[in-house]
Amino acid sequence: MEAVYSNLLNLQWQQVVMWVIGGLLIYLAIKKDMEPTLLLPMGFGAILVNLPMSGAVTQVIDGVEEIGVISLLFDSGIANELFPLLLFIGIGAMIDFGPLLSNPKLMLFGAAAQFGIFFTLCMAALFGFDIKDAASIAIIGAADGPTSIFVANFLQSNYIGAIIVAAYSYMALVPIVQPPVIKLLTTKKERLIRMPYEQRNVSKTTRILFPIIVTIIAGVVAPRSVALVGFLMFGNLIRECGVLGSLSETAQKVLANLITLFLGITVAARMQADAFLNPQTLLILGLGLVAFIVDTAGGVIFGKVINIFSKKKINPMIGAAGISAFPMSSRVVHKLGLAEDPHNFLLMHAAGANVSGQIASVIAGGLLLNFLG
Amino acid sequence: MNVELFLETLPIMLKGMVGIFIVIAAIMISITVLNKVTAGKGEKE
Repeated sequence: MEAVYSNLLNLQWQQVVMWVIGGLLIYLAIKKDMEPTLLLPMGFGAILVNLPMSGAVTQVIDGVEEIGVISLLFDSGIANELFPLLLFIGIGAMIDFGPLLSNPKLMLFGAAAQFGIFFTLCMAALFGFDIKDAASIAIIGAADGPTSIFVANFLQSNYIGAIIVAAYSYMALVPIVQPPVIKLLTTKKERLIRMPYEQRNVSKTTRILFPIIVTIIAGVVAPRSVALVGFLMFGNLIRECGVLGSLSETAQKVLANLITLFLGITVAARMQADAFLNPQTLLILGLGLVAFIVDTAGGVIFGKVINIFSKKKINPMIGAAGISAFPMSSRVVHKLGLAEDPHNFLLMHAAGANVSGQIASVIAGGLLLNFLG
Repeated sequence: MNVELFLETLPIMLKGMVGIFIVIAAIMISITVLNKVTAGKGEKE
């Protein structure tokens, strides 16, 4: 009988707190529809790895190491950066770069909206994190889960669990985080600027050459980003080549779903109470929010600066879509535009800036790895 | 507060932002050239 309840004595209050956090993530995933594909497995995983003497994680019992399946998955799929890279094939296959290819100038917004990453790097350093942890925290501003996982893992951050929770939570909160920042930085007159969309045809050759060219350019400048950029662009090449429809569909659906399924629960390996419950986690959540806010501000302010020099005015709100959170961010900008003027359709411009942000955030991650890796 | 490390990260911020803009500008120019070269070749979508 004692065997039935003896393990209860191993339970620590910190583990119970992690159950509550896990429950909260599951609640947010189901009830609030916040990134359910990631937050639900992460929430369940947080409970799983925080059971007393959990067999899901590797532990030493009576001097013998027992390998846990979550730890095994972590070592096989995240510690070697495999899962985020494979997921990038699926993401690349999902993205239509058409709006960007028909208006390449929108790419500049993707670059400007990465300012939050580097601003947060400075802030995290100021708050006492060492340079590699600061960079790992800063990459939350990439607004892109796989990039955050890749960079934080590459730099061997001690806070990878908190970083991933922050990255995915704020991506889900983009519709709440971005509008106040955009409204604060723009006047009503600016928000009313109309940008008629001119549909320009993009040749199939351009669509096919684009992922190859991006891989070469990004790879030459930031060689450590080449795996990230390369897998993203490989997925896109599969989509655009026109002869691999079945593979493209598999990458977009089956592959992306499978990897996401394992990624969420595997990340929980770094959500054990002793590593997760500390004041730094709260600080990381705060810095993650700063990264998203400054990213948004960077894009909007860049749009306002361009308007000073340009005759053809740009609605600076589309700058906010330069963060990588795709497609949430472009939808936010589109809705804000419609709220000011029901006939102002900004979606295609915002989508162009948004997919540019996807590329720029990966390049930002690669540059950080180049500087600090 | 680690002001010393903060000051060390400022050049990284500058190099990072300049680096991103250079890469993005290179990609942008490539797309523009591609669009011009492949325009009117009868393979539009």
